[in-house]
Amino acid sequence: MSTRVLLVDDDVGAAVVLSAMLELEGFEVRHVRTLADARAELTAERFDVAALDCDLGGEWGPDLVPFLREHHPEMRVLVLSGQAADADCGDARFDKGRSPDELFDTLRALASRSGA
Amino acid sequence: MTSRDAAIGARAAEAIASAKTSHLRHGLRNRLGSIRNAAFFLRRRARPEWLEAEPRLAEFLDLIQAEASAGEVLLAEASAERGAGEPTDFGSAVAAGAATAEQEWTSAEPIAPGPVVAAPFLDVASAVKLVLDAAAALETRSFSVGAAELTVAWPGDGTDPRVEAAHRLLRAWGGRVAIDREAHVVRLALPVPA
Repeated sequence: MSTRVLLVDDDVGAAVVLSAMLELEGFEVRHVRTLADARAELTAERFDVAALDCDLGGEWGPDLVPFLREHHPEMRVLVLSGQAADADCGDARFDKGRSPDELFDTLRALASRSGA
Repeated sequence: MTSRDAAIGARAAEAIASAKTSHLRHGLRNRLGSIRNAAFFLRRRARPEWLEAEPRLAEFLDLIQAEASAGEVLLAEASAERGAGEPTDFGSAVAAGAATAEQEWTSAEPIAPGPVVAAPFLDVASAVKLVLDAAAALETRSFSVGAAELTVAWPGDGTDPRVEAAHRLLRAWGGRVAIDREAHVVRLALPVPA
């Protein structure tokens, strides 16, 4: 069964390309732009990993983490940031400047630790 | 105006400029990342016969990825993270920041010294000034100080670049500035060292 990823990123162009790349690698990806949309999606669907961009244009991606910990403790959280200070709250941090293969490996490793 | 007040004002102005630069850097990194990822996708999806017919196709797709990655590295190097900061008496920093705000402010309760937070005095005080200047635009005039936390009423719907600049300033120290839209307040909070 493929790993299901909820991608939260307000940058549509970046998210479309990232989703295509992940899907090519066998991940199932659902993209949302806001934290409200992410919460709505989480009520209807099950995901293994949440990949959160930090700067959502007025919102802060890691602000979703307390909600995930409370309502979806089985999900793992990947914070997409190059800054260590941004990502203390997640299970892992990924600098978007690193290679796609490293991202795939990171997501697979997180999914293997998911309780879903 | 004391030299300390001037330093707080200068730090606040610097934080706003830094936030604008950071926006630009973030946007450019996202663009470069998309270009690199798109090239990665096309390289994986290119049919062998296409690559055989035009050897430069693979070469150029690899080149796009390499050049975009190099650009991302350049931008990442321009945003070095900070080291450890000197602990600061939170109450004193709040009082100093409020004293330099553009409008006069009153605290709901007397500002007590402490607790100590893991961030430099100048950064905390200038973040307080930025938050209060932003909230003044909404005609708020009072705030409350909790344990390493400043709370100001925020009746508006929008964001303010000064709030974001304050957040970016404190983020490096594990702090945060966020508008709680449900509670209609903006909170500035910093961690207390163990």
